[in-house]
Amino acid sequence: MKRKIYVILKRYKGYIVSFGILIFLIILLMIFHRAFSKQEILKIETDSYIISYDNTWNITEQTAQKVNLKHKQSDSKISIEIQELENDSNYLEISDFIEEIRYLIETQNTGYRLLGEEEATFTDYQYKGYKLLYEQDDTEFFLATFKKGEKLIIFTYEATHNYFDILFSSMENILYNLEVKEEIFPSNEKINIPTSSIGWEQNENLTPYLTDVTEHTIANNHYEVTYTLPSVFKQATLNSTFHYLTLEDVPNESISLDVSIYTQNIYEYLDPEEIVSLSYNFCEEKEEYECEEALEKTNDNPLQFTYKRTYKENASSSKQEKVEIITALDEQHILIMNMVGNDSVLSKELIDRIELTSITHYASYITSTKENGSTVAQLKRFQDYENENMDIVTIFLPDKYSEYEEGNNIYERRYFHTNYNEEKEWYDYEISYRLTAFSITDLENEINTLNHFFTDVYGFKQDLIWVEEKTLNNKNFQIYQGGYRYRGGIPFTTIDYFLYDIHKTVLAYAIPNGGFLLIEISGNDKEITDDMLQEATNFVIETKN
Amino acid sequence: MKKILGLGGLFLLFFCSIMIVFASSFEFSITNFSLTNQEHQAVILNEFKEEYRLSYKLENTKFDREEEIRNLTKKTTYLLLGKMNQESETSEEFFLRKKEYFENALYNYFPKDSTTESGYDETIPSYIYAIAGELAIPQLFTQFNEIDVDYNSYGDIRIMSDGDITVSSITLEDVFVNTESQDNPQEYTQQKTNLTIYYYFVSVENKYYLGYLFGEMSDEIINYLDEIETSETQNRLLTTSYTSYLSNLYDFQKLNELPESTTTEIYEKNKQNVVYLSSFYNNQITGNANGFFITNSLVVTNWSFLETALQTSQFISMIDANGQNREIEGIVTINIDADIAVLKCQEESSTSGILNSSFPEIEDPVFLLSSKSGVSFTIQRGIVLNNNEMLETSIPVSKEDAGGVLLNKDGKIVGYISGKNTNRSISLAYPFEALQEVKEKFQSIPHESIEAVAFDTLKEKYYKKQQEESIKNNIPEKKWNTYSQIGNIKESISLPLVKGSYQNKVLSLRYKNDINSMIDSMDFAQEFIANLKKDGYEEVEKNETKCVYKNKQYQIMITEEFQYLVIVMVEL
Repeated sequence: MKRKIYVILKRYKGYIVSFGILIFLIILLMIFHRAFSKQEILKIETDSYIISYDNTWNITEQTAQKVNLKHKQSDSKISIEIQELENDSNYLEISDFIEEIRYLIETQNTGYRLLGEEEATFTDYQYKGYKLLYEQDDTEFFLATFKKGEKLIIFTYEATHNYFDILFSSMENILYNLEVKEEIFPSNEKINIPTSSIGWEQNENLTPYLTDVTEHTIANNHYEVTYTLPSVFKQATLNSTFHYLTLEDVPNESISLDVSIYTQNIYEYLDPEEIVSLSYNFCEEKEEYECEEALEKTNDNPLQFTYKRTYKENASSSKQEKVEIITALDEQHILIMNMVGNDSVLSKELIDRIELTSITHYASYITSTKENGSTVAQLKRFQDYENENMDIVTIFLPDKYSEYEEGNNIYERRYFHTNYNEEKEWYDYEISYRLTAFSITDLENEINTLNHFFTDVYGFKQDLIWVEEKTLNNKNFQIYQGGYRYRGGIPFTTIDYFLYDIHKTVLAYAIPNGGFLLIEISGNDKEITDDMLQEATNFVIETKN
Repeated sequence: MKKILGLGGLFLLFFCSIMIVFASSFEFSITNFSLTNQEHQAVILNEFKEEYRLSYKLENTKFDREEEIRNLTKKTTYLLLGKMNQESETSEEFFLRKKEYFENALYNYFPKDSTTESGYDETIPSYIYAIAGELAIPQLFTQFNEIDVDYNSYGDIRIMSDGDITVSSITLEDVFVNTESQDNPQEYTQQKTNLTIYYYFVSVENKYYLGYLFGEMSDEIINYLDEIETSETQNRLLTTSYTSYLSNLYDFQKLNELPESTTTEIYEKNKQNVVYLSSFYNNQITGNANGFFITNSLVVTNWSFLETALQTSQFISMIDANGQNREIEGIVTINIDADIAVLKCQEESSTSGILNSSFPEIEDPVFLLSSKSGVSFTIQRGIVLNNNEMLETSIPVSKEDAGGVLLNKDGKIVGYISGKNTNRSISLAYPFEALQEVKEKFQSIPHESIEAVAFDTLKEKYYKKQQEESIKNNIPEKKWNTYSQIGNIKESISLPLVKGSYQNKVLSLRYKNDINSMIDSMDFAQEFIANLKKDGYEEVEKNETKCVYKNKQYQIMITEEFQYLVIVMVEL
């Protein structure tokens, strides 16, 4: 027997060696395959979709609307179809389609057993859809369908039961990472803003005054911007929505700066055809008066342009210089800093001392808090021209009052309302607080300003007139009363038309450092009660640096 | 030669041995997929008597510029909201977008007349859109761009047109908008909602311009509809109406001038005619709709409700306004195009609804009598916005209102609610003419002579039940002995195993949760997971439906899919 085996071995020695080498190569191949095959994520992208899949799958078919994948190591398949819906159908919801889909599956594939059906959401965008699970003999079939806009996505996965669950996770990754693109409408038009370098002159007279800087805060249109500029610029009033500063205590120089925030796109502002615009073609009309102007793009982030213009009104008049810095806070808000010099040179050195230190975007300027059953809010203002000390007024209202935003300001006004009226869809009572500048002495003038907002168009108006002096919460108030009639319903139409009276009471408190705190109470078709006067006049005033 | 053949054979073996062939492939595809295929629905018609067939269908006159309006709607949405998926936009792009948006405003092109108060030619009725747009167009642009709408698709577009004025609505689902944070009003937070924007396009010299627009977050409507549902109280009629920006364009005066008693009178005339339907599976409600007696024997509801019930439920119940149960004998006939299902009650009613004899006019008051909760009925008031075949009304409806009856101020039927355009401030109703045929066909047939097909018969014949699945387990015993030690899986999972397989060092197990569908399948894996942790497995990933654990030897993935618990174990 042994001899026989020996003879056979000797006879087929070549084949046996070859076979042995073969087996060795196969084993080596398997080891290498296992060691070096890493899972990679692959992607295909077209105008209509992006599909991510791991490298255990191969693409077997790809068109604009369809992709088929096959698993490398099994016969498992994935099919992704993106169907453009007919106009008649595209406003239907996915639940309208699912029965059609089920019917088609079941009539085209008899013998399929439905194992499961459920609603689901798909992709990161959580599109609502359905999942179905079928089996027939050894094969299982999974279908997911969802709708995105006017497209219906049908995703199918089939495998034998040996692989179905094993590959399920890999399949799900493909399903949930699927991105279906929508068309967008880009504009091809470009904006043409002519720019050129600005020529600057020096102003040595100003140089010694540029060292110290002061921080200012302006807030409007949901933005708050903090900037610094030389301390020789001072504000007369603490106006949070608009700054007007003038150069103080610098001999022979006359320079002012106004700062504001607009709801406008920067290019809108630079477009000469807009109503509110920079109008940088000024010199075209003023050629004969030594007019020079230039617009320069000075920053990309944030986007900023600087405009400079110098001109004389006539041969003997003083030279005017203007520098306007326009900064885009976002696509639809701009900060404008407009500096004007009368016979004063606006040097680069001066302009460079203006720095934006922070830009904050607020959802609202509502800063009141609820504390111990009260709504607490603050107003503040400068005490004097030195801008060093502030009066802080802290208001305490019962917490049935809630703050609302009216004037986009953060210092000098606060608005509150209470008693929501469901029928009329308004608040029965509103209270506003306004802190005037310290320099205001003429109370009657302030009251008259309020009267401008009254109308007699609907048959009744009573200007605010002084009624009495009253002590409330240990403070003395001058009380004014008035009102007017107004209309409800849709303007310019008779739809829902009705008339109602707005009752007004204004309480004026003279602040020790000058100026007034004006409390305006409005009753929409409601009289104002004494209790409300008590509630509205609970506040304290303190000094702060 | 022999050697060559021998070597060749070996190489063949080599290639075969590295090719993995597991099972025969299975071809499946949805061929000839036609999304308007209603053949299977039409087949059901054979169940009903031929003389009961209903022929009414909407003429479906396609608005010939629908494609144009559809594209205009998408483009206007892009110009209004910006790019999808909050892709970043430069100031330049914003400027160009805004410029183009305003260029398409109607007020730029509408014929002017300096002698009128509005400045427009007021002999053309659509001038009101030019006025309304002067405020709305810039205002909405600023508002939408302030709240920074993040949307990812153009969504459903629905168009209603009378030629000169076309209303197009687009619903963007699951958008994110910036709102004030509840905790800190100064901070923005993102709120997820559905946004529907209504565009009023007006034709001037054969070109459409944007006249007016308004937007509506789904929460406003859903809150309104939820409030009705929770406010419905037995033996008390609830009356309500919804105010939206529609009041800027349409005159609600005819409705507002009606005395308070009108709604009570309408209700009194019709309360015996309305019913509330519910479908059930295992004593759980699976769907709701409204219906009404069109003759003393027959109730009309939506076919779409009935079809869903046939697929998902065991039976339908019906209660009337007095809370009394009304037995349904069966289904008499259906009209798929008009979304009608005609049901026969075992006992006759004493009254039935009266159909109006003419089409309602635009701005005519209409009243929807329906129930959302099944506890009692609500009358919602509104007006007709458009009567171009289907009725468009200002009454918001939810899916539960489908089949509800629309009445005029005299209490006569002018239409019935469809299940389309729900949760928006404009809803659709089929006109009363669809019901005329039903009334004419059946009102003179004696109750006992009307033949009806039982719910169970239709269900059995056309809507398949789920069948038992096959149990398959090909895990070799030796492998199972090894893997079953992991987490003591044999003992720790009490659900029945329906599928088991082993391939290339990967073992998968599928357990069926047939114990209690109210309990998540994942809950049945808790003991197994605890055992894994005790055995030193580290948690790699965890969420509601999936978790992954790992040690040096194995990776275990546990997922929940349909009513199954699936566990995949991979040897590393």
